[in-house]
Amino acid sequence: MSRFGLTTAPRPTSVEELLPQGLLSRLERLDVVARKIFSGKQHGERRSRRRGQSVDFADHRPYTAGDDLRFVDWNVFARLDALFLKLYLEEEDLSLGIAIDTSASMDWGNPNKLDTARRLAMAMGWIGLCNHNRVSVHGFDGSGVRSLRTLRGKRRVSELGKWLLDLDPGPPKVPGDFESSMRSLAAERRGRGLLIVCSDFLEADGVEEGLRFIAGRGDEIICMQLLAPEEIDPVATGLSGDLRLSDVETGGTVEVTVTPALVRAYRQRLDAWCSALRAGCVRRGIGHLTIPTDTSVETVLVEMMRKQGFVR
Amino acid sequence: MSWLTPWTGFIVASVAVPLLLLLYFLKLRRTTMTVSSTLLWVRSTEDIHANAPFQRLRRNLLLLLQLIALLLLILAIMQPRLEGVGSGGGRTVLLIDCSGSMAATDDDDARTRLERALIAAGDEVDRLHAGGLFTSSDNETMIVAFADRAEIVQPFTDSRQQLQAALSNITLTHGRSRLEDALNLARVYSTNTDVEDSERRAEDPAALVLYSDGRLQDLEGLVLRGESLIFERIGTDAIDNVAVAHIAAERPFDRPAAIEVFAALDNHGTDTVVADVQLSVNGLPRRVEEVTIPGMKIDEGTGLRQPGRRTLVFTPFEQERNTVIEVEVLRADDLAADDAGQLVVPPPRRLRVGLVTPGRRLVRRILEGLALERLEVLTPEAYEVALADRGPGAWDVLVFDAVVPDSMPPVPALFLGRVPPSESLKPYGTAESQVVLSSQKEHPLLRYVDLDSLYIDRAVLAQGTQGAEVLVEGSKGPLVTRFSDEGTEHLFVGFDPIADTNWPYQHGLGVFLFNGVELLGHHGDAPTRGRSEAGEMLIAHLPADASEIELTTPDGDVHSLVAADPRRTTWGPIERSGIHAVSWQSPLEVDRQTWFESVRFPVEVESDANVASSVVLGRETFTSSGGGTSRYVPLWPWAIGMCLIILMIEWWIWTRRVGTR
Repeated sequence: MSRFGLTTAPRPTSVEELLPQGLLSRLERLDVVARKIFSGKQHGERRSRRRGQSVDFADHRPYTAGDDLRFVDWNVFARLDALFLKLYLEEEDLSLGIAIDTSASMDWGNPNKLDTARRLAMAMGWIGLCNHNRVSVHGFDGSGVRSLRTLRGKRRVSELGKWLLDLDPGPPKVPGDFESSMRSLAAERRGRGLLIVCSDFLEADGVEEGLRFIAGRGDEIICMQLLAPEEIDPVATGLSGDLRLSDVETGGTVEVTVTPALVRAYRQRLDAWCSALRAGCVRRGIGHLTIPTDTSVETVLVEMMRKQGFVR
Repeated sequence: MSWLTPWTGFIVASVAVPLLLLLYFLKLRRTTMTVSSTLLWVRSTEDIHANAPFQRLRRNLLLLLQLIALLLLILAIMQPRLEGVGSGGGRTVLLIDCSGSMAATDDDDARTRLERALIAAGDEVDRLHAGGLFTSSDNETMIVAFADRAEIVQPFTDSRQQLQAALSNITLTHGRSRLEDALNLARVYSTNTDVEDSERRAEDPAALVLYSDGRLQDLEGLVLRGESLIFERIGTDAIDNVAVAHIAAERPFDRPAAIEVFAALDNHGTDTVVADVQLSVNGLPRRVEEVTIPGMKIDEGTGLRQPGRRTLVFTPFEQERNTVIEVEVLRADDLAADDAGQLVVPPPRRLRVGLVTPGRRLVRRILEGLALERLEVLTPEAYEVALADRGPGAWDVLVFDAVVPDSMPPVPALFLGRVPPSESLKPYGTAESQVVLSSQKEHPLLRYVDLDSLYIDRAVLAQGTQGAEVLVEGSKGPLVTRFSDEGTEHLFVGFDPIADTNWPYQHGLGVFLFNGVELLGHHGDAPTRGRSEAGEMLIAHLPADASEIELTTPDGDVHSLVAADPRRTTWGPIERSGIHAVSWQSPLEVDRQTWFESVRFPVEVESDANVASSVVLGRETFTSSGGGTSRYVPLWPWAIGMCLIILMIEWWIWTRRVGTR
């Protein structure tokens, strides 16, 4: 058996390894950007649809019985002899959901795709916690969806880290798992907000349907497509000769002789696959980012996501 | 095409081909690799298959190429060769023609046919004894060179060095091509008589390879006895050659001291040739004449070749004895060996003279003054005894001085004053007081003889029968008559020159006797000596006291000879045509004496050097592939080369498929 795709890079065993201390301070300055305005549950630092008690003036409305007289605009009453209330913008928290594909195909590659997803989730969760957002994390695979209860505040970062460390790869998938997982996730998720889906999206079918389910809830969604170097350039990472390729999830095999023509066809197929995914995401207003797993977390967040406007 | 080791190839094929197929199938057991998803790979291979309609063929192409390469390798092991001979137990006899026609330089490279034959034979030796994986070490080769007679240049050996050295020692001769001796030698030596050598059967014939131009003289009656023969034809059939076919000399009747030279020139080319012909005497050119010689005619029906001929007569010239006359064609052609012909005018032979006399002194004194080998003076009685004891071979000439024998002697004789007892001469009386009325002054007998003042007091008259010739006619009857008795020439002088004439007081008597003895003693001698032919033995007659005998060949080589017989020495066989000079030291002479022998080129058989296209032995016709190169070509190097090319193609295809950059 060849060692092609076998994970040899060190895997995280502690919260510190998931998110190094040095990176924590650099990520504190970042904030997640949601293009939509969502209603929050608690007072927060993000403008809400609701009118509230912030310092930002929003509008006037006529006084009705029972209104708090403290918000009556007496200047207007003096000029017009009518009672009007001053309305202010409300600032609430944001619901940040991070869904990680824990299927067997994610536990592959060097660096490991699942490890990369955990590190990204840890970093995104830290950014959300720092900005007083409600952070929820989900793992999905063929066995269903596992979720961590909603976290808020920096102090919950270790809880987030431990949960991610305990997130094991699930059983092999069967066709349609992604769709059913997304359906479950959509049903389980409370409130609307920003949902980041980390997966390789290497599913024969059901990807578009699954995305349609979660997009239909009104969440703002970002798809992070994680690809291992072995998937992007298999020849450079040691794939050659006459091979029988075995699917780590389905167990299905295909016999290939690695030739330039085959490699060329594979690359074309991969590009087409990624392009089709990106086109499907754009069609539904979903953000899309293809991330090689040998890219550092800081690069992903500070360069790639900032360039796309997902963080600031 | 034949195969040297077919069974080896079959055995290797029976093992290697299934093994290759097995290996090929083993090779198809692929390495298993786990990937995150085969989704894209499956679709990529589908793309490849969709875009490659001959994918199945491409998949098997490597196996196909490997099978071809393996079969070529097996082919090489089987050692195929084109037009090969039977191995003959690994024994090969190279028969190399070194006759006169092999001296032709009818190719562009200016090499003689023999040189090209030796190169071809050398190549064959290299091929038979190349060593290495594919050559049997059992090969043995013998080399036989032949012309008039065959000679084993190298007995059977497997040493390539010895064979090449033997080839380098073969030299050209000007002899005729006779194959029979060579065939017999090959048979004798290729028959195994060593009972210990159980690996080689006695009846295994050798393979014969004949390097020749095919102009073989003795093919009729020759047959092969199981041997295989390959005829390697050397030379072309468009030769340009003018040969001195014949040369002869005669003394004109009226000029006995002169020599008239005749030459016949043959043109063996098809084009008419204009050439200068030079006559030389003792190496000095004396005359040059231009002649036109018609081209050779070929009978289309029978294929017989009739060379164009032109005869040539040189103006007579005075010539002493013991000289060399040469006729040479001053024109370069393909065969230089027959461009010249020589004749030797032998030195004078000294005579043994017997004088039968009743005791008179004048004739004896005159004869004693001549340069004779021996003068024997006999009384008539002693003559009869000596003739009975020693036979007629004791004298070259007999002089009967006023006497006659009991019977006619079987040696030429000069009869003075008495009528011999011959049927050819009929006496019919006597005559007195005569003078010479007429004479044949140009006859050798009468050269420088003044008969005008001769007075004959008394003479016997005799009439010669048919064939007799009156040389001097007196006023009353014939005085000197030449007649023949049973094939022997005689002279009859009808008067006693001492007793009945005034001749003793004139110088003409001595000259007359000298002429008479010389005429009778050398009657029948050819003006030139017969010529030997290349391939024969040279026999030189020498004085008994000759010493330090040396032979100088036309090439300038000098050989010391030993006279086995006191008066004769032999040397040979003669290899080259031309003048051979035998010189010796005689105690009575200050200078070395020289005897010349002209050796002729066998023009009638070797000058027509146009090659024969085939050699017929018995009922078998052996046709050469021509070109003077090795006739059968080993094909295994080609098979190996093609195998390597196929492997390179396979490697290229494989790297194109597997190489991913």
